[in-house]
Amino acid sequence: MTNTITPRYGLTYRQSEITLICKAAKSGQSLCFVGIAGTGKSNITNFLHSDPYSYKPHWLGKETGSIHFPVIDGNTWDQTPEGLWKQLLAALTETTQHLPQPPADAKITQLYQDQKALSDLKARVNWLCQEQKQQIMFILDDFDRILQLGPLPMLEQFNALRSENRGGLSYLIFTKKLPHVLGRNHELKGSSKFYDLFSNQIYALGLYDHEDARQMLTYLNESAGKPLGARELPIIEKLTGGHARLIKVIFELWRGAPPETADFVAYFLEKNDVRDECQRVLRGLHSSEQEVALRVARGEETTADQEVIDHLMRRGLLSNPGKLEWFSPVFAAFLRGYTG
Amino acid sequence: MDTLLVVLLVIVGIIAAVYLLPWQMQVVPEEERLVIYRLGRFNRIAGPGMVYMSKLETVHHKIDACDRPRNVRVENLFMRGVPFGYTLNFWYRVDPVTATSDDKDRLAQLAHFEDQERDKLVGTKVREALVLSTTQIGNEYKPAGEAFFYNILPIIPGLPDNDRLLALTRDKLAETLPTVGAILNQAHPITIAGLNLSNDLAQSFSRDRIATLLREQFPNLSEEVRLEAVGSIVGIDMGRKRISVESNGNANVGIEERGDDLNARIFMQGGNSKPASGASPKTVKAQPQPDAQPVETLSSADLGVLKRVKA
Repeated sequence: MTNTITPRYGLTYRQSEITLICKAAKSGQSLCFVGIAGTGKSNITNFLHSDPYSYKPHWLGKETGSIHFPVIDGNTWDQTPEGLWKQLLAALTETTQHLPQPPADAKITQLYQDQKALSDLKARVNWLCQEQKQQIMFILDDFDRILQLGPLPMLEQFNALRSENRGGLSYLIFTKKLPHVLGRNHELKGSSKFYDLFSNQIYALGLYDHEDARQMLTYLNESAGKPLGARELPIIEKLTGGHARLIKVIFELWRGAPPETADFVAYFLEKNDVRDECQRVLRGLHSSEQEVALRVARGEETTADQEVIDHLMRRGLLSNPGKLEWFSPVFAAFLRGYTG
Repeated sequence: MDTLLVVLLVIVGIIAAVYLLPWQMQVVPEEERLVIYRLGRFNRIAGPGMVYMSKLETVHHKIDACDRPRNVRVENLFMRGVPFGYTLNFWYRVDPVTATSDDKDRLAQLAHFEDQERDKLVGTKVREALVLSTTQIGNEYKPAGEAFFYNILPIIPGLPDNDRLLALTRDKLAETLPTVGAILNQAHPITIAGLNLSNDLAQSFSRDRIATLLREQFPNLSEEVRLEAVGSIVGIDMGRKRISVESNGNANVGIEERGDDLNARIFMQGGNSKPASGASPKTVKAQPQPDAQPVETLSSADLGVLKRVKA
């Protein structure tokens, strides 16, 4: 008898988002997802990049082997153009190492390191897209700081790279905040052709739906030897509202020390890990979103807040327009008690 | 015979009219220009407003002519043997017609650059200007002491030698940017958005050490300018958050917040680091904020870009 563990995510995991991404990758279109901290982006990148459960053929069909998803982690960027191009090149090389390698061009010698790094990246991208007829969708994960710091000429190189490989190269960008607001210092909106690549395709990355949350909890429980019963898992799902990292944190806390009170919200809100996670979600919002969120939590919202409230609903933080409800009762309680 | 000639002339006239007379029209927005080629050769730069073209003419590419601030990063500069880099912020617009005084041959040379190529050329000119000005300031500068710190004083924003360096850079750019089809907007100062020292250098002295040395060297320098100078060095943690409107490296108006006590201070000062008359610093008790960061006002247009994924 084999003891198989339920996969971390199922075939229909984030079905709408994955459909959109795969369609964009096939047609060489770029897109951006704006999601709150801990919303489960890493499972999307895992799915696209390494596909541990071999789901990709279901979505990409016969093009599965010719569409590549190198992942760049914006948090590890060293704040230099050279560092960024090297990250892109390393990720692309790692993802496509099984393919024929581009021939070295001995005729060109770049004087500056950043130009050399960019030139190496261009050579590889052009080789893959133009000679090998492959498609590449760079996943630019946690790209907030890069959009914020720029500079613009560096960001525009993404467009230049794509211009040489229309239909073959595209970008999937993940941020916590709105990209054009992050890039306000260098007028990303209006003066950036890189921004124009995805400006019409900026989507909210919401929280897990019931099926995805249930699947993740089942996976965590089975991986840990089923310490929790069928009664506890739905409670955790309800407490976390489908927030991936909160699911993990509260599952681990419950597993370590089951609550001995019926007031689960108060019990978990006392835990530092939970408070840290809620803090991270709040701080990942734009400052005006934070202000409105706090007013809503305290029942002090005004009519002027309505636009931001609608926006928070699009982001999945709030639901039920009639009687506003937070995605998670724990997060709602955190906001109500927030003192700065 | 005469009739045949008239018919031929009419036909030739119709063909000439079709090819030479305006047959297409484009409305060009204020911030754009069209580079128009006729039969594969540069003909003119047109716009803004209504632009008429004959059938022999094509739009080769568009030029972004908007006058706006841009950041240009220049690395591998040296001041008395110390390597550093700057991220400069300054305003310029692309205007090959003004830059060449409408010299047709020169205009044809500059018009074929697309925006990205021109950005690179501007970057080269900024580098040229900075190399010349740092060399000149470096040659004229007499360090007040032996310590390594004294060698980098002229590159620190807000200090007198650095103001001279920026003035020289501005003069040089005003002269050289037109050679690549761009015009410097001198109504806005050139500011240093970032001073990049190598990690080894930046970590070799703490912010407190630099602030102390600056205080010793420039006793009349205000604390704001001193903090601004230290804060501009990339890689040095200032341990505070600050919003300020800057002018030539000196903070003019700002709100700053230090430490954990949430005491915010509003300060106002003019150039040369001296407080403006009647604008003495005021201290206000800040309200607890969800996060100590500049308020990012989100307009309807900002919020409208985010779509919901359709299920």
